[in-house]
Amino acid sequence: MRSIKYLFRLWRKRKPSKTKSGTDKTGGPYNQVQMLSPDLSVNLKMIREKLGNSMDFIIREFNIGKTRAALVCIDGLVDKEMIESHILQPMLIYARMAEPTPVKGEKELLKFIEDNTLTVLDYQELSSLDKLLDKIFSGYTILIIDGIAVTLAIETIGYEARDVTEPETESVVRGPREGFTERLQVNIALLRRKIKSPDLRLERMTLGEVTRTDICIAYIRGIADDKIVDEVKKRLQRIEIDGILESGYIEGFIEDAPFSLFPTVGNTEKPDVLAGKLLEGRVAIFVDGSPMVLTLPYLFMENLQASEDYYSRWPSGSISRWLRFLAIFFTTLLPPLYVAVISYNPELLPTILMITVAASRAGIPFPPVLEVTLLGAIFEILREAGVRQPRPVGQAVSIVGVLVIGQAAISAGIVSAPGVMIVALTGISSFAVPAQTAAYVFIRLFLLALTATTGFFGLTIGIIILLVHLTSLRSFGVPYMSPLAPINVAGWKDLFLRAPWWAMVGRPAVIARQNRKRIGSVTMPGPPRGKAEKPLGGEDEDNA
Amino acid sequence: MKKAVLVILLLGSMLLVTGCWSWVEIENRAIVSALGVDKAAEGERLEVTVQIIKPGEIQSGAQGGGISPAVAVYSDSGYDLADALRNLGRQVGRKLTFSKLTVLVIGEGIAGEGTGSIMDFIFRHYEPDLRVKVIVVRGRAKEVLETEIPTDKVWGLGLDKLVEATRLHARAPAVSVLDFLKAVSSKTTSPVATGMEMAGEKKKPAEEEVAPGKKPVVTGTAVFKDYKLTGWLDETETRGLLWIKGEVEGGVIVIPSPGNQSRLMALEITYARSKIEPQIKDGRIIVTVKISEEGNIGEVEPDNVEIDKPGTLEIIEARKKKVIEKEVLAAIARAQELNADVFGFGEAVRRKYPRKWPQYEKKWEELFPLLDIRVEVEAKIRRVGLIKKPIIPGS
Repeated sequence: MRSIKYLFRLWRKRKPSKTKSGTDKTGGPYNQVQMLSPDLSVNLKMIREKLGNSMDFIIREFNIGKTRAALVCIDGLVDKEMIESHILQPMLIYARMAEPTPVKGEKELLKFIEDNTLTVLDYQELSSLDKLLDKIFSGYTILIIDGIAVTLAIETIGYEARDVTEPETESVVRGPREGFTERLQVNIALLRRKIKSPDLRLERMTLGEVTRTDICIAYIRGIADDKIVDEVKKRLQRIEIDGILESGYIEGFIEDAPFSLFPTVGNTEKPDVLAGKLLEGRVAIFVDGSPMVLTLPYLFMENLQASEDYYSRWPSGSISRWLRFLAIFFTTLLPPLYVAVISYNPELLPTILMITVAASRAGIPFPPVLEVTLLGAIFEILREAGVRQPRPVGQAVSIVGVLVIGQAAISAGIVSAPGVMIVALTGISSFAVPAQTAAYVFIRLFLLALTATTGFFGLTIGIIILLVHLTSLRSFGVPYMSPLAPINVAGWKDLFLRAPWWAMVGRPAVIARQNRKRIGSVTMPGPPRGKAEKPLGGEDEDNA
Repeated sequence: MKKAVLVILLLGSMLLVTGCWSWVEIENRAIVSALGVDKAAEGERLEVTVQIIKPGEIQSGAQGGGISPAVAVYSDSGYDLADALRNLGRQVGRKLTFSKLTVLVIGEGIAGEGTGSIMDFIFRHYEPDLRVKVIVVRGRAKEVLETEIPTDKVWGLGLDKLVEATRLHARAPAVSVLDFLKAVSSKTTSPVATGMEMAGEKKKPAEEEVAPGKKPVVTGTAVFKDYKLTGWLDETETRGLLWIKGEVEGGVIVIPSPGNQSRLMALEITYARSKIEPQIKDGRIIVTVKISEEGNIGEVEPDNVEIDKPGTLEIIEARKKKVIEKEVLAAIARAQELNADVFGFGEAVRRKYPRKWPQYEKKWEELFPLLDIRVEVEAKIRRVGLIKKPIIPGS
């Protein structure tokens, strides 16, 4: 691992260091604090300079009584009807009707407008050009009045956005179907609807020198570990980049082990999942424009957890856990095991199976390693081809894949039937793991290479290397393999099993260090204790 | 930094220079399912016969239906087993793999001379597991291995099933290489092996070829003294041996019927246990063998047994007891005659009297043939089957 880091460092050092000047603090476009002037025309000139000749940029000048004023906004980001009926109309018509109250000076005019004319809920007073521009691009409408160096930013957001729909990545049979959208405000509202506590903290940040993307850190005060929250903020503040288009950009900057195959930052698309994670003491990062919300810290065991485990009864939840364990083992170990058994230690197979496998391998031109590697590559290509195709084309891809690779290759004697079975099972298993990461493909190849050269010996060494790596990983100070390493038996209730809810008393010990108790004094449910009451309708028999 | 790259490259190349150590593809192995050893015709050499599984046949049979043999038999000779197997390699052309070896068939001739090197080969070689069954055939092992077992495609597996089935009826013991070696390692116990003969072999043909219609039958026990064959136990004596060792798991005891002495009735054995209790009294060793058996009524000749009559079951039990006693005594007599402690009485004494044992151990050869052995049998009838009375004609 360390040597790979050296490699990357080497590569990074050779790159010219000129790139820095582009995002230099002093040369950046937004860093000079420029105050507004009382003169309307000066202000408008400044804004026009900043925005150039953008085609979507609207300035509407008008009179409030005798005072000149202007509305500035961006077409497409604002709700025009709302501006017309709640800002323009009251100011052009009703302001005049309210004229009897004498307005002295521009300062009082502003107060008068705020108090008596604006029929809008959310507005702010702004006096610097930077903040004003920020607001404009967020869909606010700016009211500038001649003679006043303060402007009003009025919330008129009204851009087109996707509705709340069921996310395709985390579909469930039982459980809420709503998923996050691309709008930060909507996403936060979805979360607020799940957690109606004043302790739910939402802290806003802006990242991206050019994109000025809104970011929101969410956590539950009193449950989340303060140290983790501080660390998240610290890491976010360190980010210097021109643009944040998706939460993946942030993930790349704040993860603990950037060279590891395993992710140390999680993500989810569902408000209920996120609420669950926050209740376990995790911290979330919303990014405007992305439905994928980051969750931290991320542990290996989250690979095995799906929201439905918690909604269905505990036996079915536990069984799907075990199946996922099995799937992880299959998807990483099956091809190397196949090679180790077939090429080195076939005596591990029962006699009849050994004979059958030997028979189906007879006359196959490729050794098992090559067979499994090639078929695996073909499978990954088919998968990749299917992912970004519209549904009907995707079906065609899978039919061609099944027919050509499966049937033809076997009957032509190019690959053996057991090889195809192994690769197919490996591929299917990879879909059964909730968190699909590329890690498993790499691990498979790594173990395959070791196995191909030294059999079970290599496979064992490979697994040891993997385990050493996994146990050395940390996510925001939390051991990645917890509760397996370090051992925390209470945590196994949510790892090897999905224990009944009344039994899962504590939050994950390594994450919610400050506030571990999740369940109060209520224990196992059951019929009422004490003397049994007479069964309903059984009185006659008792008396007789 | 360059050092790190170098280290990675060197480590990576280490994997390649091993040259894929011990890599043999599954399809390039000759899977041996049965191994036979005989005395070779010429001089001091021994002849080895192997049954090799032909995987292709197994699959084609699966589609076509019917059981066609899926083995090929090769033999060759050499100075010892390893040498003979190397010579055999010239005919087979693939790496012989012994990990699926199921039976080791030893010819009578070589067994009489000593099987030490054969057992050592199996024990020493890393591939065969020690559950390989040891069969001694009255005749030549090659003949057994060349005979088709019609019920199995892989004849070696068929032989293994024959031994298992016979063991369940207590007609022959099933002995693995491990059992054999364990007995050898004890100073007093004599190893045994499954006996086998070629049925229809009464008139031995002069030519080597297998006469049609011949088939291997598992029967009796081969008795060894250390590594050398010294004699045989017939089926009655074999069951006596198994009674004493507590290895009877089933089978049938035939007794004269309580109603009419000339008629017979069959009793099934369902449970049998034994206890060997040695005792040293005034310097003399007395071994008491306690056998307890339970069984059901299996088959009755109608019209002469009234099972529901009080006392009938007791008579049956007494007769059964007598039969068992006779079998056990026959086995003891034969073993004492051969001076072979196949029962492990010596071990039983050693376990009970570890301090006194060394003085007897040296004399065991003289002690065993005259050993005072007492047999106590307890035989019970547990169930009489679905009916009490047989259907008697005209009733």
